[in-house]
Amino acid sequence: MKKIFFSTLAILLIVPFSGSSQKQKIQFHSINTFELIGGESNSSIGFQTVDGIRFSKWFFGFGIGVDKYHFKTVPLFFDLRKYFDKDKRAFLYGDIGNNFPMKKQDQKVIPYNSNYHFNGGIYLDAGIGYLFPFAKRSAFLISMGYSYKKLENKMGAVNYCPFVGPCPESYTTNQYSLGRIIFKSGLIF
Amino acid sequence: MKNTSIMKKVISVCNAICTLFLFTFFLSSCVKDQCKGSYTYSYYTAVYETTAQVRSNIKSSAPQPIENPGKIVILNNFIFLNDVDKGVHVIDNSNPASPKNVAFISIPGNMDLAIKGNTLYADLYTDLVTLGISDPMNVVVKNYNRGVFPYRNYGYGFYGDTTKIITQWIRKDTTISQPCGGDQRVLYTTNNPAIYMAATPQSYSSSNAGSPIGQGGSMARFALVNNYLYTVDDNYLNVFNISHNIPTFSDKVLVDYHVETIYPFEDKLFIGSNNGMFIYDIQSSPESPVKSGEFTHARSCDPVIADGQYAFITLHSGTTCLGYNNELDVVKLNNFIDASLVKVYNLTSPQGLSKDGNILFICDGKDGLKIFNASDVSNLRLIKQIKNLETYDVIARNNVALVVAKDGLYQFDYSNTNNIHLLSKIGLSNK
Repeated sequence: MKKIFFSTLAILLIVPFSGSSQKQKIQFHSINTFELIGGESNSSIGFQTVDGIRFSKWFFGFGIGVDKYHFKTVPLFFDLRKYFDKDKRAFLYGDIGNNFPMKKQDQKVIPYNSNYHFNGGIYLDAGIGYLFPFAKRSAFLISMGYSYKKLENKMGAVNYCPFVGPCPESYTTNQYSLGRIIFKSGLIF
Repeated sequence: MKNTSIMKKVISVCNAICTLFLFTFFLSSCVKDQCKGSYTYSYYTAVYETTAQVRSNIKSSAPQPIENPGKIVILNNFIFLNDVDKGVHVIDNSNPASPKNVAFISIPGNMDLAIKGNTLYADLYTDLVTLGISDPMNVVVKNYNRGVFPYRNYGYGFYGDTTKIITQWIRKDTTISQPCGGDQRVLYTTNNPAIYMAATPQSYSSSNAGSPIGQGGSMARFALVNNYLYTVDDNYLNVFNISHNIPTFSDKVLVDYHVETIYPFEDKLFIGSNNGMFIYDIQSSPESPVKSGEFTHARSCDPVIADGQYAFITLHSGTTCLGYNNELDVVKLNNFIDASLVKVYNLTSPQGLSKDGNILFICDGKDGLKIFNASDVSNLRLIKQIKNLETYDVIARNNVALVVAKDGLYQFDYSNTNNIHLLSKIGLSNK
């Protein structure tokens, strides 16, 4: 699954301008999608909005969203997609960016825990989709792909200090690498 | 005809959605969540010197960089700053805009200090050491009270030794893999742990009655009132008679569990513990204080200060004091007998505090220093918040607030509350 993902991403990133040199009209688009995210541990939902420009068969934009899988995060990413069929409806897309944890503190206070926080990590998403136009510049879209997010959870402990000498310190680190299948549906304007 | 076309489109979209929806669930079994867990802990090994070596080094030496600032005492133009477990920095503060670190007194295991006149009292692990500081650049050891702080000598493999003293701790970090989501573990590890008990006391005498007393911070565990030195340990209030300069143990009063701080005000001692604030009267029998009032609160760490009418108690969580509260409790002192809560103010992680007139200074941990107008204790108004420093304790007097922070010693001029500004900073060494 990862191989397919990285291959797709590579294609999208390496050959962005290998198409025609004829004059094309640049159009601004906003893509707003609702997500169903399925992974090993559970299924969850999310939302994304991507804004950018479409040039011929290419679209470039920046996106932000909410991803509730496992830990609630805010992905902030660069989006690239290419329409590969004659009608410019079928497309491949790839996202790369960072996800930022929304949860900085634990829900409950844990005695002896001096700190408890998440650090964000890389966010990747790549897949294939299709547009169903219903107006001149508007369409319904669906897509499916593989998404990956990484984050780190660090919990520091306040150990009971002896009255002699420095306080011993300790912390537990959990590094999460979460691969998911992501289904998106939404509207493009 | 057109409707049929639209219907076909809708159906095809629905089919696609349903198909991909099912695929999502179906393929989700092909992807994996991975989690790598690790546990990192530090422990310390001790470096020893003989008791004789340590004692020969208790003198004014060349100034040293500040590494881990702790308690502070101000007397006249000097700041005496504890460097935890190392000793006391002597800082010439004749010009607060340009303080000078002029000397260092090496006192291993030192955490607390108090000053009266020309005499400095400091703990040296389990011992109380008395120093003559008439010339801070050339201090003289006058006495050792051996083993008077036994609480500094127990637990986690430490044991008493009369010949050696720990002078340094070397930190070692270790990281091991563990299952993801593993529980916190608490580790107390020392290699070859040992701690000294000091040697034979020396004697001397000179009168110090009526001498000025250095002003300590709210986190202090030593307090001087007239001819008595009061110290708190985990459970007790200890009284030393210093009328003849040599501290003589006088009495020991059980206060509470997990006593933290002591703050003298007039003829009262305000003692902060994990569970509350206790008021002890020292007017009638200063050698044997009597509890006159108390105020209990949720379990938390809680330094306390007071003025004639109110006590200000900061509670903070996230430490070994346990507790969940991060707040300032303002308590009305009804003739120092019956204390009643006036108002609770939510803060981030408040620790030391100080009050000068109607200006209240609170060290709010990583939120920096918060300065309030406390003319109406029911409605504290934030005058200024100084951010980007992690504050621990503060002493405010003579329009200068001396702040101990994680990265050094700061001084702020608050003569004009509309223009509170930094006067100086002594930074820490790069450890």
